[in-house]
Amino acid sequence: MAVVLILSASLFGNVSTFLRLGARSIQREQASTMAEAGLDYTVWQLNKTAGSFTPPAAETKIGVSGSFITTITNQTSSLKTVTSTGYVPNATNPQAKRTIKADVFSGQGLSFRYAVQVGSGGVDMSQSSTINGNVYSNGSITAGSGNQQTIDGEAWAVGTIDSPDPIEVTQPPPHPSASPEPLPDISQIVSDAKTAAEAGGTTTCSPTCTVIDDGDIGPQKYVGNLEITNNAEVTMKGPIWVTGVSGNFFMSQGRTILKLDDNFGSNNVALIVDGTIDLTQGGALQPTNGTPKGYIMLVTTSTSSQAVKISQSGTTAIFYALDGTAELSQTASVTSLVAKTLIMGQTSTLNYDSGLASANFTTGPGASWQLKKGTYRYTSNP
Amino acid sequence: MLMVSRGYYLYGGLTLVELAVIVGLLGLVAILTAPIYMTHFSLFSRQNAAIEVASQNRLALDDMVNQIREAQTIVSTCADCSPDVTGSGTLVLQVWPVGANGEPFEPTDSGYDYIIYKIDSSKNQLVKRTISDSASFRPESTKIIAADVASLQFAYNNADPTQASQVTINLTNQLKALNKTQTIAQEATAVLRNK
Repeated sequence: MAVVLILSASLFGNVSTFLRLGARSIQREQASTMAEAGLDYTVWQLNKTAGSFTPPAAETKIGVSGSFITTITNQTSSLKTVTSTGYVPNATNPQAKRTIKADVFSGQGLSFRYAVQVGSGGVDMSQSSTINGNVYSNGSITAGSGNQQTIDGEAWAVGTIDSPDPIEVTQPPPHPSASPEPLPDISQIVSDAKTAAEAGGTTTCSPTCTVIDDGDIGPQKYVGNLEITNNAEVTMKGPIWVTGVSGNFFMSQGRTILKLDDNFGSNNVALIVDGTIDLTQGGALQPTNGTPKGYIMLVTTSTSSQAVKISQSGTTAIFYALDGTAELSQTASVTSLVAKTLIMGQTSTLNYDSGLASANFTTGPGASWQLKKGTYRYTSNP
Repeated sequence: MLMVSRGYYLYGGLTLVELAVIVGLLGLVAILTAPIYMTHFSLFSRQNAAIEVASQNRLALDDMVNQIREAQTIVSTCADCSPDVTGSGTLVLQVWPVGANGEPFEPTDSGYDYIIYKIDSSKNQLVKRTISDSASFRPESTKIIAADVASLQFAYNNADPTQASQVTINLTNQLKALNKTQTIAQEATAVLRNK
């Protein structure tokens, strides 16, 4: 009888432990939901108050099942860390508690998730051309002349992929016959950048405005062509819009530099060109010194088969040619590129920066506070 | 009491009949309590097994759900992940590396950490493998997060798992106790909040 009683007591203990474990598991999940609610609520309040929201020190109750307390730490004027702790049933005597941290930033978010993302025209890679990053093509990924083409990452194509021979994809398998993926929509960013550039004043060029000295440029609207040359080191202070009958943008000579002002931090700024972009005679585009970097995004609305031409240039910038063809040749080097079609010549290279997965733009009234991808995490130290 | 020679007394003991009655009674009690004991023992063992598999199942699901929420993306595989490849039975998650202060930081190029969940069929164990970048302070490890695993299935909300933003996990644990198999299968869905 004693043995039976001992077994019964033990069984009762086990069952109660199990029930307690189950209840705790549910409460932990509820606390996670409360913490997530706090995070979403804070982002909503930041947008509602144009970033001036200060969370209350007291807990915010959600019905009778739980509550949350959030805090905000300012990293920069456009980057904040939100810490949200969920409690069940309340913060005074919590039975379960979970803390979530995430960074939120202000700006127009845009996701450049691939080193190269092209439309129906596809990607054509010739000898020794290299893409360091992932590639998504709504057409095919084909090999041009020669061999030793490399995609150092993953490759998706709605059509076919000439891999493994001659294009080597270092993270196999390649993904041919993939579903079409729309290119990043930058219409709002372009519209806002044009407005901001115009607000900086309009310069009429006949037919070309040539910058030959070191100095600042932007925000400005240029009607005509814009050329930067003579090894000038020019700092970009705001959005630029090159338009007019021709409206082309050139850079020439090896030591000519167009650098985005470091004050932009991790924000990107657009340079809109209604004509073509020609960087075949040298010159370089440089990002900010921020972490992550802020880039110049060159956008062309041209439908030309040579909407973007780059050769012998180290352009650490983002290129966007939605309706045209981008052509990289010789030792051209680019950070990220979106185009209808991409043609890569010999030894040209694309070096993707993972920070572009959540690119942030400064201009425009549409800027909003949003979660920075990659920063959402649980923490044991609220 | 009897007094015998030299002043010794003899006390009366149990007779053979009395002993037989006592033994008989004890036997009767044993016969009556044995089934109760056996019933309780088997009930205890089975309930213990049921609790064991349910606990293993719940804890493993919690671990996977939390890790998926923190992941940036699902990858097919990684340089150091071999031979593990994402599929219906294996999940390879890409996460930000962790700094010395324990906070995740944005990596340069391909400097990510990777978490792999898979089933070790030979031992029926659910294994969590952590692969860290050289710049990360996340400790590399291979941990058993559940035993008695009968099956593990991952389902993705995209035909290409690397494009998926949501994962549904179906985990079944099974343990045999006293010729009775205790099985528990639970499903959990997690969204990749960092994708």
